Amino acid sequence: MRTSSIHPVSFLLTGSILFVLGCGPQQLWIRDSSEGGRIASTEGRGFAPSPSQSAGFSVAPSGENRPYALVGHTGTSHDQHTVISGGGSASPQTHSMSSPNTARYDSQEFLRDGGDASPLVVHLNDQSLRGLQPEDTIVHYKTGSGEVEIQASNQVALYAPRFRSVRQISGALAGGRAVGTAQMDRPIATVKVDQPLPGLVMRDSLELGHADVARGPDAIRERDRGVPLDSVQQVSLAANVMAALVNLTSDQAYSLQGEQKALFDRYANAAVTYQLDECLEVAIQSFRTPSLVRDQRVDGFTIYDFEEGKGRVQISKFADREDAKPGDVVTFGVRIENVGDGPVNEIVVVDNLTTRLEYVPDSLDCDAEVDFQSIVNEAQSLRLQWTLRDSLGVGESVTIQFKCRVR
Amino acid sequence: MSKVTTLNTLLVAGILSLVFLNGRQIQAAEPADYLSRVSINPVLRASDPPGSVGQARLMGRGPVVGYYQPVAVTGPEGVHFSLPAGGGMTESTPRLEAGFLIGSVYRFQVTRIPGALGAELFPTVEVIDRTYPPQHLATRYPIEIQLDIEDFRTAINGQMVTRVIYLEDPQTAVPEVQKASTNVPLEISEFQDPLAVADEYGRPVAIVRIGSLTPPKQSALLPEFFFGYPTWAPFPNAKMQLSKQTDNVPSERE
Repeated sequence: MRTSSIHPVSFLLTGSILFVLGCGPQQLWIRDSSEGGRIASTEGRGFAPSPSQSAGFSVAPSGENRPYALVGHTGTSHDQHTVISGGGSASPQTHSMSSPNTARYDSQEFLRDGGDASPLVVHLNDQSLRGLQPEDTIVHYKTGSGEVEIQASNQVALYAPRFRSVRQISGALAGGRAVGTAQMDRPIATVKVDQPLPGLVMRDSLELGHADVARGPDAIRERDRGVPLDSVQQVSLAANVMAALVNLTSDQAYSLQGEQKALFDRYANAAVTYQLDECLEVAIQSFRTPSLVRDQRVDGFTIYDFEEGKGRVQISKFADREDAKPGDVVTFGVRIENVGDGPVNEIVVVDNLTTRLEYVPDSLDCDAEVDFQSIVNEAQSLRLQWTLRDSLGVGESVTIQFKCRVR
Repeated sequence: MSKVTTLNTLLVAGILSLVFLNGRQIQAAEPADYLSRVSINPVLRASDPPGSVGQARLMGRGPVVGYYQPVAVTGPEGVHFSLPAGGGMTESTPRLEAGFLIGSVYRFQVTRIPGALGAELFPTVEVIDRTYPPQHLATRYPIEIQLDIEDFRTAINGQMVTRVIYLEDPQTAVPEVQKASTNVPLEISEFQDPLAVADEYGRPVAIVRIGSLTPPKQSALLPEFFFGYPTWAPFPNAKMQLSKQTDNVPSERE
């Protein structure tokens, strides 16, 4: 059957297509399954927590047994977690807990090595280096034209937080520890500080008082000009299907009259109960088929003019683990490769270890002939230096591996 | 003639004063200007009532509300720790591991102190900031609170020990391998603020207060002693036995 006018079901079909196209994956909602829970949204790859649910080792607030329901979000896994109160409640409460998926980090918790921190390393005429900071890893070499070039490696970060403490002993017998009052650092400006009282903080929460959700057609098999199509447009979110299908806003949908609701239910059920052999054929005259337009163009055009026959060395650094506790041994690797058009000579790789990295003696492994040298640096660690005995041809590479103990 | 000369003199003096004072602000000296600005934490101090610093952190930035920060407490060999749970205490363990809410104050029990047979201490720990570990590393890298025998002996003698645990800045870290023997605290005098000192060396994350306060005999006062029994979260897969009644901690239901 081919119709010449716009059938009401085609109206529904078109509305669903427009709805699916308009509902991208950028805005999915996570909300408490129980009524009155707070809502958090996903923003890109990160996880933006609500005031009641933070990323990581987090459970529902105030000891309330409210499992969180995850809707439409695939980047975070959930598991059950137990929370215990020390009071009279003998039975522990079980909460749902999101796995750590923090978008933020603290650089103090990471141990970094590699790169070239400011000020940049400068090679002087007396073969010394200036500006070599702890954590820096560079390679300097001489090209075929006699120029000395310096390249910095990438930075490797290990999650290795270390905690220390400050102790103060006070009391009647503590006076003997004080040598004398060097200064008074008590503030004189603040007369009174209003300390926040726990349990008295009121927070506003936006909650839905009532939600009418109608089940619409979950899947509509699209058929155009009698040719079966393989793609089935699946409605990903069923919250506002009815409003979107009728191309009305939510406020207008709620104001439908009784006979209009029956009409919509009839069309919705009709779309669901169609079988394959009695597929609906729809001809849409006044609607254009959805098309994907890629807005790609060339923003700029850069010409890199490399000197003929000039060698260039690329240095990269890596570690065999991403986290380490004090005392753990980490294997670092430094790989240099000649990616230029000519050989390079007098290649020297320098790794200035940071304070919390201690070189493990005799742990060097290199696939080329090198002269190794270690010097105590200003960070009370070692400055490791490898000098390649041979030149590095075009496309050749050398990998140096060594071990460090995390302090 | 003399009047004209006087007027000219005044005019020149006025112009010169305007020229020299142009762009300058004349203000009275503030008394605080004469004080050193080093080591000043103007609002929060470690000597504030337990919970004040952590509650202030909850009003700051970041996802800290509702976060159970993993914490591990260790001590010298032989010392055991336990937490209140279900009206009693948990099974004592030489390494106390739990997730604590930021801003809440948790009182735990210390037993089997070497050289002090039968003595028990009830220190408090207040988590004032959190860490941001990568995925699945939260409980592997808890805030390590390492207490030593000096803490317990001092507290048994009637003095107060305040420890501020801080996350060390790797740029200024102590260049030695951290072991139990080398992880000694930085001792400061009672005229300094440990919170401010810790803030200079890193990021303060917890405050431990060790005194000799013992639980009250009346069970009605126990919730106040344990700071309202804030909820805590055991580590996943932790073997823990609850509701072990001890002699010194009367049950709330008595």
